[in-house]
Amino acid sequence: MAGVTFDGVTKRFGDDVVAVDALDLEVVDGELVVLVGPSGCGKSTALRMVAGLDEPSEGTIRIGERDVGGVSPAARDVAMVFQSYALYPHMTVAKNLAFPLERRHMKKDDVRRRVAEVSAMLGLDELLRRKPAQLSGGQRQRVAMGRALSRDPAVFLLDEPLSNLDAALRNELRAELKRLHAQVGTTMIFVTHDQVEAMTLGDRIAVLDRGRLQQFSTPDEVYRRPCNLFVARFVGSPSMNLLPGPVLGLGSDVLAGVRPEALHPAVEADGDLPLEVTAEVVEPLGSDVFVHGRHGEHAMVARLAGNAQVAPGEVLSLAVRRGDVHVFDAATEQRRDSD
Amino acid sequence: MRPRLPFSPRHLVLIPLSAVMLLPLIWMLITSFQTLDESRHFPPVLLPTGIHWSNYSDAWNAAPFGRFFINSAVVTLASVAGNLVFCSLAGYAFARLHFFGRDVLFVALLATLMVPFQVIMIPTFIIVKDLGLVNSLGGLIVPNLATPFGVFMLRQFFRTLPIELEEAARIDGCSRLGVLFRIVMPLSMPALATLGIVIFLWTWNDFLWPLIVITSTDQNTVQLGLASFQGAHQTNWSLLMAGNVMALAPMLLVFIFAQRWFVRSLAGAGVKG
Repeated sequence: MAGVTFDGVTKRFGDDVVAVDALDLEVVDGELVVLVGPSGCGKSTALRMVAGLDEPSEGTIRIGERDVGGVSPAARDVAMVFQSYALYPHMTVAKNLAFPLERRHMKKDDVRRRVAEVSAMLGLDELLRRKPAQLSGGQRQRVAMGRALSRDPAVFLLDEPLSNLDAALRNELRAELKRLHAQVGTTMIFVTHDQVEAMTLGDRIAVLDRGRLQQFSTPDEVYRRPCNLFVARFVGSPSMNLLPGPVLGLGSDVLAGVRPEALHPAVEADGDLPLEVTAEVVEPLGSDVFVHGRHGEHAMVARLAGNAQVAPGEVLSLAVRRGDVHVFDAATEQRRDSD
Repeated sequence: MRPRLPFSPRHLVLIPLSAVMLLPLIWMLITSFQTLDESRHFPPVLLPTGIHWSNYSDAWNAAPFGRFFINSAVVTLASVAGNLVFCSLAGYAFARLHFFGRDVLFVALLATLMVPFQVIMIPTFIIVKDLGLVNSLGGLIVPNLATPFGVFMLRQFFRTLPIELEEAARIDGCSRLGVLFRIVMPLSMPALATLGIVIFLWTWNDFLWPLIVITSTDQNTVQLGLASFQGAHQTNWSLLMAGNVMALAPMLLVFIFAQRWFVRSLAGAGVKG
């Protein structure tokens, strides 16, 4: 097992495209770090550079203490799960699981034992003689995980491994992945564009945008103290409401961020900041009610308790605690802590 | 309701076309069983008076056909094997590796597809002569070990394979060559079988190049042996056709064996479906 360090890593494609821009990141040994960001933010490129499928244009990547620049993918002691699973179609499940071991010249008996262990761990015993084409999406995903696990690598790399699955299966496998990580304790780097996946899985989250690292912290910290407007908007569903400072009695050089769940019905004289919102669309979800509306000219979303009765057109008297208002500099878009 | 025809209207075109294609083969088969007189008769005798199997044994004994078959088999199998290996290597390099001048080189390779054999015949002969391979099976094999057509065809097929499979194999411990032999080639069986058959047909049926390179009877291929039935003044059609039928048999066998690969395509099943 080993940690992974990005030290000033930049990746350019051609002269114009900078996929990853001066990335500094330290993934501690045994940690599960999620790289999250919108499409094209460079998260997959960063992962591919750890795997050795792409080489950095500048900077160094270390796995453990070793600088892996120029080291072939095979010699890096990493295992990767691809978005498309990338199971070898001409091999059975058992052969797929054994392939990385055989390539490393492990003894036949040891290969058989290890395949049996992994197959038991992931519940693949019934599938060992099948070929990938005869498996469902969830089963293929499990086999892909198994192939990565079979070798006991220093680092697991997972490139959007759940994004081709339906919602129920995704939730199930997400939990399984978390259990597996706790069980094997190997360093994992998980790439996703889904912030829910990032929040639920990661020990720490690295939020990327246009190749640059925006924030690298625990899910709680990223959610509660987003370091800039991009992170504030990207993390949280529905997105944070952003209003000009004066709307909440702040300066005109700042933007005020209010999470939809921080809005609550106003109670007189409780000292919270009032906000009147005219409801336009109401989405009852059972546990919550999402109210899409407007405060003046500003679009807003509020997440109210599931028993809230709201009709479209209704003017809601809402309020937000002062401590729940995030303040960002309007010019630099960075968080301001002093406000 | 209109009565339905027991066949599709397309068959009205396809059946006569098939008949036109089959006619020479059937005529070859019929002639191979005819006497010499029947084969020279005009108008042609379509049904022989009897089946003269002796044409086959006569044709076989008229020249050392056993030797010719072995020569043809050696040349053909070596050419097929050479093409499968070398065209795979070159095709993979053109499909996946990044190297200086790759695209220019590939265009140049494609351009050679447009050069007729007659143009390169003499330069090729000079090279073969300098290699000391004139009048040897090596002279037939070496120039055909790799073909631009094979490189082009496999390169196009390799490019259709999901690249993640190759990346996964590299991470799992394969070298580039390992990726080619363990992942890419097993997934390319339809393309490899097609190339194998095409090269087999080309080489087995090739007449002009062996005619130039081979000068002694013991190095003859089947096609050169068949030509010996065709004299300047007369041709023994019965024996020639019996020889042709024998020369055709290996090709039919290869085709029947390999055609299942045409319809089988494995690639893509392991990635998301």
